[in-house]
Amino acid sequence: MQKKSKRKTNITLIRRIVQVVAFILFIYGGLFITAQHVDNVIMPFVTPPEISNVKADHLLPKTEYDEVFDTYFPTRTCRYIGTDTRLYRACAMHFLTEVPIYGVPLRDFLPHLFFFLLLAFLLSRFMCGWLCPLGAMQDFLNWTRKKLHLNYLKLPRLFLRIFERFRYIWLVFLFVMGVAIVIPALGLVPLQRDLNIITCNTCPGRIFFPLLTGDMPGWWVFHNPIHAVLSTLAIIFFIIFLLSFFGKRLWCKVCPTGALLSLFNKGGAIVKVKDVTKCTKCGVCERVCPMDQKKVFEEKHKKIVNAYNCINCFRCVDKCPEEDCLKVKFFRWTVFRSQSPK
Amino acid sequence: MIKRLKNIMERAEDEQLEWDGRYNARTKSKLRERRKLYKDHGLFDRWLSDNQKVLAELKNPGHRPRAMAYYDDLFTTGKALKELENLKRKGKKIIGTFCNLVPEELIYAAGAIPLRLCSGCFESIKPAEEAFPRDSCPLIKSSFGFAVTDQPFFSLCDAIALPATCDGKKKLGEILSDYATVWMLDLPQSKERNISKKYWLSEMRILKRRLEGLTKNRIGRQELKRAIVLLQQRSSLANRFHAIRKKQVISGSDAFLVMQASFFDDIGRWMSRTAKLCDELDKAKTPLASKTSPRLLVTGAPIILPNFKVPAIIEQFDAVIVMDETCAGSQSHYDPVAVDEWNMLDMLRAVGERYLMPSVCPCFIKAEDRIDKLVDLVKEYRIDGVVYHTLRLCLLFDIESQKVRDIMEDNGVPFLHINTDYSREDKEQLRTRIEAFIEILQSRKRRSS
Repeated sequence: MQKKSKRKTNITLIRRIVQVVAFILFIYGGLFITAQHVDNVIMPFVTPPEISNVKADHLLPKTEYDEVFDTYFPTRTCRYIGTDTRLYRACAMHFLTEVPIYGVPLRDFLPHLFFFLLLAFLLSRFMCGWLCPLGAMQDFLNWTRKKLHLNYLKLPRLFLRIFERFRYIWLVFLFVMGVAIVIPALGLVPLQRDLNIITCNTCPGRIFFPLLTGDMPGWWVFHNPIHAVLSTLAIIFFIIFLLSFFGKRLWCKVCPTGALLSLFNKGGAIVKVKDVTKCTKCGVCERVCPMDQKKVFEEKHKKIVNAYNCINCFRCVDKCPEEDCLKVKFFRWTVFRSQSPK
Repeated sequence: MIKRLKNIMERAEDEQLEWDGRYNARTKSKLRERRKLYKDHGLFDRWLSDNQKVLAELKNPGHRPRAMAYYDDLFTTGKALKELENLKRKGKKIIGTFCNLVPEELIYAAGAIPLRLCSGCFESIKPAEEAFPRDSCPLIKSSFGFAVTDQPFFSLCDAIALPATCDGKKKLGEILSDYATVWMLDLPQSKERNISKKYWLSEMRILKRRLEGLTKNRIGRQELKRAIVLLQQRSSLANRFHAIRKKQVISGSDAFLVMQASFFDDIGRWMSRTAKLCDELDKAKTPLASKTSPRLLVTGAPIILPNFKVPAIIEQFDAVIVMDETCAGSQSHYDPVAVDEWNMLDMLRAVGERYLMPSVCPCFIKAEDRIDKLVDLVKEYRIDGVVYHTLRLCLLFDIESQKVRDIMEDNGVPFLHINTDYSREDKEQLRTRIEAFIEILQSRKRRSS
């Protein structure tokens, strides 16, 4: 008993610190970490694509290592930020949907893919909750609301279900379009300029991040029908993003990167374990969940309670009033567990 | 402006559940007659003397912690009553509650005092039976008896908040409304549905508004937060107390006594006294029982002083009740309110869910949560045997006993079902049954060690 009475870890505080540090690093990291520091030592395992490989001529590839890490991080680290401040080239979704149009050779493509898969298996949506700058901004918006003592908005489950379907349809659409615009038989080749990287064209981060570093944001443009449609969608996404002032993490419920990482969420290294008999079914875990997930609350048979949409913020574990009822495991080490309030 | 608008909208949404009093008038004359009949009944004094008798029996071994004297004092003298009367004279409102499903946070936030009216008094059953059917559970009859005779603590209450749990409690509200203002809390039948949480939240809003109307104090964010923090402290204190019980340094009946003192004692004083008791128990080294004496878990219908028949008999023998799972025992302050954000809606949600969701009352559709809880307690407190106490005519606990028995037997834990009421006639019969059960447990334990 004596051992257990030590102070409770404030996981949310730790998460906030990590989020702020990650935010600064991803967006301003290039200012204090330069390529010379890490070049050839840790990272770049890839040579930049040759100019001859490029098909979309308006997107000139890099010939030098402008970024510190010449690779792509799975969460949204925007390519519209100036090259001298950002840490990574772009987000993995950007890269994965862009590969066909550049015709990146396999030996250049695979290391990036392996890096993505490694992070996805190790951390999965942990990155959404702890590292993603878009997530951090939503949390900041939500924090402002909290400080103003306003009530939060809880989405009806119908919306959640619609979002759940939509984001996978959207994800598949993004990948399909990425491939379709390079296949001549489909006749989309003339539209390459407009249909290239829809991920970025509809991303809310494209407005925000460049503004933070003083670069030109990728504004929405309406000069042709395709752009008009995509821009309308982008505005809707942007509104959803801003609405996370009222709800918690609204954009994360639509985000295609999140949808992609969700697929790794159940087999990943981070595992949430629940002791069903210890649970008093008080429902706190469901109430505090920013993603409105019911899995932790509802699970009565299995031990592992990872949900596809869980962003691993560990808010449920933090708030659970039962000693050892919920545990977070990284491989087989218990990293964090629920404690009764002292 | 916006707040006002919101208030109006909320008011339009929530309808209040009340008796309009059309059928109360007819019974008013009868009521007066009844009250005249029991005018000099002195039920409260009888309750005190009953408590004295029961507590005198408990005081046998020298192991009893010294801090327990305070609780004995509370139950055997009219001290608590005088205090409450004083507070009432000063203008404090007193809200009677039943069951452990009434959110005390709201009551404290409104500046009122909750007073739990669940009674274990045998004497009050007789007057109650004149206005209440004989074939209802003794707890309800006993509690109602104080209303018929207009005795404290009932006479002190400005209003009574009564959750509609079992059938008896549902109809008790209707009959009680002749005698006092009764606020029914309409409890959902199941906890799992999304809608039941929303429904219960609206019930919380209604209760809040009623409390504000009665006390003329607005329940603001700060007040509610203060009340929540206070009761969180109480629940962590209660949990500390129950964790100490693993060491077998306090008997089960004493633990019941401590928890039930909080029904009518001043909360601040109860907390400081219980903290003192915990400190004393932390230092205590000699357990009440030897290594072979079985560790028992008492569950089922509430055991309320002076109806300490079952725990008193159990602890006469070489056995200790290390834990109980009853709503007048360990369950009453077990769960803390877990608030995510300190705004009004979320606090109300948190308060409401704290009372609804972890409740293991058998009046809900499923018994699974309760069985989970029992299985966990058996594991955590290393229980050797389960004593399932039901009150005669309480169907719900009786029905659930079948399932609990099966599960306990699957887990290899011996199970004893006792069906009794508040009368003392079956004491000897119970004694033989409990003695046999404990002997079996002892021999099992001796064999395994």
